Amino acid sequence: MSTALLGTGRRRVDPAGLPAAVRPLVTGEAEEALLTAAAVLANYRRAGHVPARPDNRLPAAERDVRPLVPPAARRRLLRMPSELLGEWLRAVHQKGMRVPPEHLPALAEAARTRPGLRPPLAAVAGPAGSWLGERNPEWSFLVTVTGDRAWEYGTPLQRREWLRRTLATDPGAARTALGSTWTREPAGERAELIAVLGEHLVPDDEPFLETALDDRAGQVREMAAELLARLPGSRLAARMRERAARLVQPAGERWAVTLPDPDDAGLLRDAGGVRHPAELLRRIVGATPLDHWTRYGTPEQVLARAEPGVLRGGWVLAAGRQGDAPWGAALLAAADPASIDGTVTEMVRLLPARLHRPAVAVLAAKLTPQAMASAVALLPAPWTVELGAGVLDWLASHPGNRGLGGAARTAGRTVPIGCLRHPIATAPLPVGAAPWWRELATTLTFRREMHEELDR
Amino acid sequence: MRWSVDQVLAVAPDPPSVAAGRAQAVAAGWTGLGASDAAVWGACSGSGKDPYLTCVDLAEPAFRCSCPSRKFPCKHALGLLFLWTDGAVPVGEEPEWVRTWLAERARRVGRRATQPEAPRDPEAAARRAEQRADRVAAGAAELREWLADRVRGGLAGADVEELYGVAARMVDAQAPGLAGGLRRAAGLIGRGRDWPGRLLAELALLHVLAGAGTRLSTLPADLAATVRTRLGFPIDTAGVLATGERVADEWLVAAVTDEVTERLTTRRTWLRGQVTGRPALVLAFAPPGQPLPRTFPAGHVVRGQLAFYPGAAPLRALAADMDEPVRAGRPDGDSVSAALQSFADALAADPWLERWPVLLADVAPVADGADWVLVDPEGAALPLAERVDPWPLLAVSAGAPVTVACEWNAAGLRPLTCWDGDRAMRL
Repeated sequence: MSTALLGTGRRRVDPAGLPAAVRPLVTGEAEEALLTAAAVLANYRRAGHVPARPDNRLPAAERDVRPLVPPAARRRLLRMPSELLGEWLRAVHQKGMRVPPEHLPALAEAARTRPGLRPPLAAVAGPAGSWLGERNPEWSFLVTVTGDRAWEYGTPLQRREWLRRTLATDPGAARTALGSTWTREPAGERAELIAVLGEHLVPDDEPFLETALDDRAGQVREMAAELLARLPGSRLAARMRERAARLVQPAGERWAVTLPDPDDAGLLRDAGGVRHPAELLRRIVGATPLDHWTRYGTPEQVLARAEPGVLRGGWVLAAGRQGDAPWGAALLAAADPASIDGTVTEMVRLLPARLHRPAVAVLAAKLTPQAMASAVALLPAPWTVELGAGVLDWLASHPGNRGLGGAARTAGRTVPIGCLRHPIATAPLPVGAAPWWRELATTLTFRREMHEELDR
Repeated sequence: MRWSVDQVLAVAPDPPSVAAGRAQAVAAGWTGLGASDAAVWGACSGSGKDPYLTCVDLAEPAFRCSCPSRKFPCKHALGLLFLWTDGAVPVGEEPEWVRTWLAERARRVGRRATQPEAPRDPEAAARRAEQRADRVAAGAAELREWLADRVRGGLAGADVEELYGVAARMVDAQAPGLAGGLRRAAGLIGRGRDWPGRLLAELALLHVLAGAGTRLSTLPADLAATVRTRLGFPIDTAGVLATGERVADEWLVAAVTDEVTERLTTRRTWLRGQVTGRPALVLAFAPPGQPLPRTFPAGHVVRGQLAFYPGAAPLRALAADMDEPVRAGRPDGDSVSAALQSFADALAADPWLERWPVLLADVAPVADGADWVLVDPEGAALPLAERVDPWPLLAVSAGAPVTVACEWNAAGLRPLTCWDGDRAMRL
């Protein structure tokens, strides 16, 4: 080799280093001999490749006995728009099926950058996914840690998953586990865990949350204040009710408001750290049990009095936290078109499902199509069938409006399965329909087929 | 007869076109849909004012659409075909515009077929062949001289430009095989571990090939045929079909792989005789963006005859008389030592062999540092090639033994098909 690099002009070919089988073939001029030797040697090596004999072996994953998704679903996976991937994975898991293993690496790469996909992917990937996660540190979220070991040894994500699952199945054990490690958790993790607890909030959590109001971490204090405000029987709610009674009084046809003192330490503790007087007032009203206002009439009558916007913001907050349907309906009906935001559209969630369709109509009547298009994105997910039907009906009544593309895209991926046969998807394209119509019809049809083919 | 979805996928020029075509496959977007034995047609409302008229002539197949897309077939034609395979296109009478187009096409194709072939002049043809052989021999001799000079001066001084220059002279000498080898060699310079060693091996094998090219007439017929192929002499497919060795078998479609370069898409289909055990390679070509002709799907078995190209180790073949492919289960494979033995035998006959098909049974993945090897039940292991993404294969195996069809060469294994139970999948 070194002769070849330096040149035969500078260095001699030495056949002695060649294997015995190759040596006799090396004859002629130096250059000729070198090239012949190299050719023979190259193929001598290629043909004589000696296989390695590794002495280690890898453990094999447990066999996954779940059936594979049907062939049509396998083909669809190749052209799945990324925003529908999560829905598809959850549907596959729900049917008790598994995905073709050769696609797991690509799916794991997608879930690496989109954490929302990780839990459903880990569920459908099963033991093969877990095996991959142990081999590739970037996919460690696929590793399934079973039982209580998840709480003690899992990654933060797995521990939250465990807490979420156990709060639903064995709330006592979950709360004991949380209490046993609470003081040792890092601040960021405490905030995440208390948020998970909030998903399964019960009145008995009050003493724990009351102590969390004095936590070292601001995020934890804020979360605790938020959760206590959702419990009308809490000590915090009683303190807020007392403040509201002092600061908000009827005066003739309107409400007279006194702004709170931003240096009141007790108030700051209950309000999660803000100091702005108007925001403090909104939080006071937002944490005050709504029955405090019944002495002044129905929600409609309370809202009919002229009031600074900050009060209404507080009532919206309170109605959402306390899940109060009559207040929700009244706030939607009285909403000022200029200030409809996510907290207002959130009121839809408080209404019984049968009222969702009319609620969408109420919003659409108040708003310009452009403003309604923005409000659609703010409607609380998951949508009920009635809510989805309401939004699709509204879209169907504006076929030519080219400004509704964003709302149509949101509706296309958010409406529940029960809406997928809406006339937009099944009837012929109207003359002069804006481009979003066709796109929406395609998405609805795609999703319908995607669910149907999993049943075959 | 209605096509299967796979047939539609086979005519699509690329994956984005499939997705775009799927998006067009919404019955609501179409009017005047219909299908006859000869064609499928419809009008698709697109972004333009007038709907696009789309029609597929099923015989060839040929596509026509009034849209301005330069993809061929366009998304509308694909969407139309998807609708048809879904059963959403009713059987109907061909409308006037479809009939006109079909008739035009038939006339054009007919004219091409009946055009008289250029008068054959065997003497002139023989003269041309002789001239070409002389030019190739002269080119080969020139290459050997250059190689000797290069080695005298030392390979360390070789640069890419110089190799490309020699390659261009080999193109002029009508020896594209030598030119291709030089370009491959140029691509090795400075790349990866041990590039001087690989460069020397590549050039040394070219040196042997060029040597054989200067004395073609003295070689045994089989070896001469191999050398001619490697030098890049054109081979007449009609001749292969007429006089090539015919082998009848149940051919397993072990693997299908596409290699895309700027100028050409090459599809390699590796077959393996279930009875004779013979490997075969069927090649198909298409310009970029154009559909490849229909080929056999991996994991299927096709009964029929292959016609082999001449050579000392015949591998390349043409489908001469083949039945429809039938889906098959997991095939029997070889051990690592048997696979290596078959490669050594083939290499003895054709030293310029670039890659060899191996079908390994029950091999399990084992990590070797950052690299992966496949180990068989006897404990013998072969490495995966450096540039192979191991993860799809690892995901299928999850540590358990699997059957894998690979291409093997000095750089390692390139897995192409893997069986998960009885299901074959392209990797």
